[in-house]
Amino acid sequence: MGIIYITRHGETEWNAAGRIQGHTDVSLSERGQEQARMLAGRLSNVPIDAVYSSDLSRAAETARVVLGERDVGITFTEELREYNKGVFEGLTEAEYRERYPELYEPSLVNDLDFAPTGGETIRETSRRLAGIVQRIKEAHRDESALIVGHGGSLRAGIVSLLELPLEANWKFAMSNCSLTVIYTYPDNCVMHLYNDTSHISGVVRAWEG
Amino acid sequence: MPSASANVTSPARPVHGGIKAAELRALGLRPEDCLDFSASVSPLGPPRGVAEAMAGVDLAAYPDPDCLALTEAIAAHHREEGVAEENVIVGNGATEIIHLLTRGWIQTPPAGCSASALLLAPTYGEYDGAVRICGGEAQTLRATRGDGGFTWDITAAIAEIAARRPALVFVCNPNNPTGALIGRGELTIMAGAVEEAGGLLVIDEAYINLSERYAEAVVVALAARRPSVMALRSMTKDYALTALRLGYGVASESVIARLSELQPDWSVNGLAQAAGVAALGDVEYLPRARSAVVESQRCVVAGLGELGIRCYPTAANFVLAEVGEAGELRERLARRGLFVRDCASFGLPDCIRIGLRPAADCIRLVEAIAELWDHNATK
Repeated sequence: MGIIYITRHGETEWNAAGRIQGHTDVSLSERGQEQARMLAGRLSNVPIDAVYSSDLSRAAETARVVLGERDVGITFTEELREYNKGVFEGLTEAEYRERYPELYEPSLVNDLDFAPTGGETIRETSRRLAGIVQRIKEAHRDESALIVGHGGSLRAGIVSLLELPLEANWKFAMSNCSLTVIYTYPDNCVMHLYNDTSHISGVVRAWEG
Repeated sequence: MPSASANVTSPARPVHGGIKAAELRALGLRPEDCLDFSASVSPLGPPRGVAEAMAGVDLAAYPDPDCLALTEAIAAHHREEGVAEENVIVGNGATEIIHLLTRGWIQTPPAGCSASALLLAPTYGEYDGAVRICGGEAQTLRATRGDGGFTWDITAAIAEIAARRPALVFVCNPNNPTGALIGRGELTIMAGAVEEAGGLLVIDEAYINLSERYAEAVVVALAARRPSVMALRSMTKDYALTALRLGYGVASESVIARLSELQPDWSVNGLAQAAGVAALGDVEYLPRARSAVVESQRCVVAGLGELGIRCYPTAANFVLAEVGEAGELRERLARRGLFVRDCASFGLPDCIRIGLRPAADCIRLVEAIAELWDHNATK
C-alpha cells in the first residue's frame, strides 16, 4: 500500500484578484505562504518519502515550505503544471469576457475539448496528469508521496487515480493548501480525505480558477 | 557515571497487554465485539496447518517433556545459524524461560557476579518481576527520549556491567514498548563486557521475526556459539499462537542444560508443541507477516500523523504514539471495544502502544482516535 498526499499551492495575488494564471508564473502571496506553513504544521508528524511539485513558483514555493527541514528531495516537473489557459491568462473573467466574446460562451460549457486560443483542452491536460500521477503511484507502491500542484489539473489527476470518468473533474473543488489523501493498492485507489482545510483557520478562500 | 539506579517503586506484579475478561464484563462487551491492539502478535493469525495439527493431538496422552519434535524443528529452522538441538530450550512462552533464568542466575549467581540484573529500560515488565521474585536487585539504564526516538548509552551500559557485575543483562530487541533496535555490532560489544563480568546477556527477540530490520540485529548465531549470550524467541507472537503460550531460547549447551534442570516437566503442553511444529513448517508465513506489518504500520503512522500525533520510529510490530493522557484515551477506546496498551506502567503515561493488527483494523482504530481527538488541545 502506498499513500499519496495531494495539495494545491497556496494563494497568490492573482488568485485573490480572480485573475487566470494557467502557465503564467506567479509567486505566493503572504497569505499563500501562511497557508503553506499551516499545511507544514498539519503534516509535521506524517512520514513523506518523496515530493513531486509543479515547476511553477507558486507550487514550488509551497512544496519547499511544507517540506521545511526534512531530508527529502523535490522532483519539479512541467507535467504537474496547471492547464495552459492560452489567451485567458492574466485576465479576470470580466476582462476575457469583454476581450474574447467568441470564446467566453464556449468556456462556460463543460466541454472536454474546449481550449482558449493557445491553451490546452481538459482532455489534453488530463492525459498529462494521468501519466504523471500513475507513474508516482507505481514508483511509491510502499511509500508516501506528496504532490503539490494546481487546482484545475490536480482534479484531473485525482479523477485518473480513482478511475472516474473524465467528466467527473467538474464535480470537485480544491482549496489552496487543502489536504487530500489517497491510499494506493496495486489494483485500486481509495480516497480517505478530500480537500480538507481544517488546518487553515480563516485564511483560505473559495477555489477560483 | 552511568545513570543506572535501583528501581524500588514498581508494582509487585508486572503489567501486561491483552484483554481481561473482568474488564469486558464491566464494559458490557463481548470478546467478539473487540479488537485487541494491546498484544503485539502477528496480524495474520496462526499459520496454515496449525489447527489441523492440534486436532490430531491425543488429549489423553502426556505431552513430551523433552519437546523433542519441536526442538528438532527449531534447530532445523536455525540450522544455518549453527544451532543444534542441544542449543534449544522450549518454554511455556518466553516468559517461562525468563523465570528459569532468574532462578538459575539470580538465586545462585555465577562466581564473581552479584545477585542483580541490568535492564535496558523502559522495557517488558516481566524481567523486573522475575528478578524480584528471586530476591535480586533490578538495575535499570533508562533510554534517552529524543525526536528521533529512544536511545540508550551503550558505553554507559558497558561501564555499568563492569562496575556491578550483574548475573543477568536483559535487552529486549526490538524493544518493548519503544520499538528501538540495537544493531548486532553493539550487542556483540555488550556480550564481551558481560562475558568478562561472568554473567549472561539475554536478548529477547520476541518481536524480531516481524521486523523489517531483522537482518541487522538478529543474534541467534551469536547465542549458539558464545556462552555469555542467550536469545529468546516468542512463537506466541511470531505465529499468533497467543492462547497457547509458546517460546524458546537459544544458548550454549551449558546454559541450556542448566535451564532444563530447573524447568518443570510438561510445562509446554501437547497442543502448543504440535502447533509449534506445524507453524515452523509454513515457510512462507513470516515474510507475509512482515509485509502485513509494514502496511499496517504505514496506516497507523500516517493516520495518526495527520491528526498531529507523533509516532516514534519502530522496528517492531507495534507503534508507540505520543497522545497526552494515554490512560484516558485507552479507556475511551476500550468503551468502543478497541484495546490499546496504556504505557503508564513503562513510565510513559503520555504514550499508547498499538499492536499492528491487519490494515483494515488499524484504519478503524485511527478513525476512532480521530473522533475522540481534541484537536484544540494539540494546537
